[in-house]
Amino acid sequence: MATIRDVDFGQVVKDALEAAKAEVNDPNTWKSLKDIIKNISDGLVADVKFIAKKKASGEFNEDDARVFLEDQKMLARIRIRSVAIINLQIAERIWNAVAEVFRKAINTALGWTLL
Amino acid sequence: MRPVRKTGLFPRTWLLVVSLVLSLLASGCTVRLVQPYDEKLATDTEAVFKKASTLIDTGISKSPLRDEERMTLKPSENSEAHYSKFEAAYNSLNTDADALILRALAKSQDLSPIGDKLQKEIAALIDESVPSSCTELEAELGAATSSLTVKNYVDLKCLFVRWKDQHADKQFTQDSQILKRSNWEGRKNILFNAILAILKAEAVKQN
Repeated sequence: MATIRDVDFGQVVKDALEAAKAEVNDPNTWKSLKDIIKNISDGLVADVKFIAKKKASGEFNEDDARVFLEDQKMLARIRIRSVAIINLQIAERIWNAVAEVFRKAINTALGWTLL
Repeated sequence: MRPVRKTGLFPRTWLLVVSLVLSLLASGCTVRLVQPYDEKLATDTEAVFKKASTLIDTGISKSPLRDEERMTLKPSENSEAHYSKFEAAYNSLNTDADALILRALAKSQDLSPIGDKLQKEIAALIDESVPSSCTELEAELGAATSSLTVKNYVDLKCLFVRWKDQHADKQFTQDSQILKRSNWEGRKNILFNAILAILKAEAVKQN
């Protein structure tokens, strides 16, 4: 992992994961969130590396970096939403499978087609 | 009684479970939490990616590398990298982005009430933590729907609007209306990742 101006971004990612883990405080929820947070953290590090490289080569001035990060904000919104859509889709499938089992069981148990 | 967690995730999870149970008891039918897969929307998204990618590649090939090189391009209007040479392509891209929003909007009505409620909450959380860079666009189009899919396309359009504005911005381009190669390279990275995220979410619906 990159070290830029004495900042060890490998350690930054570890610290970010620890901070997120402390907030979640639930092993099962953490298990499902860890990869997502790691992915977001790695993305942020890649962005910093990109800016640092462009700054060092003289291709980026401060305004260029600011505009790039502002665009990254919009990308972050899209990424978070897409993760939410994927999780909702999974929840929908699980729930509909469970509902179908219950629907059949309740109708059979009562002998009527109630659901 | 269990203490309420400070993240607020737990009460929301329980609310969701209770709502889903009530939904089953009330309707006895399946729930729809996300808007259904739309083959045309996915295909059109790929087409917009190709168009935007071509625009960006042209920008990379025609633009100067550094500020010093840009300053030598006088008059800047004669440069192949000048805003005037890209304006039509930006406008066309914005029209395509509008069409994607319209298509997504037309298919956004099929959610169950619980799906609509959940998407509204998620959308509000995202707006609160990472506000949009296009407040007018968000107020005009984003506020009209709770659909996360539609909102992704509104943000994609926001990127295209911003890119056009940046290229036309004399202050940002140091009075030249010419971007540098690195600006385009940053856009290439952002475009790829934005479309990838959108299509990943659509692909899960397809399975």
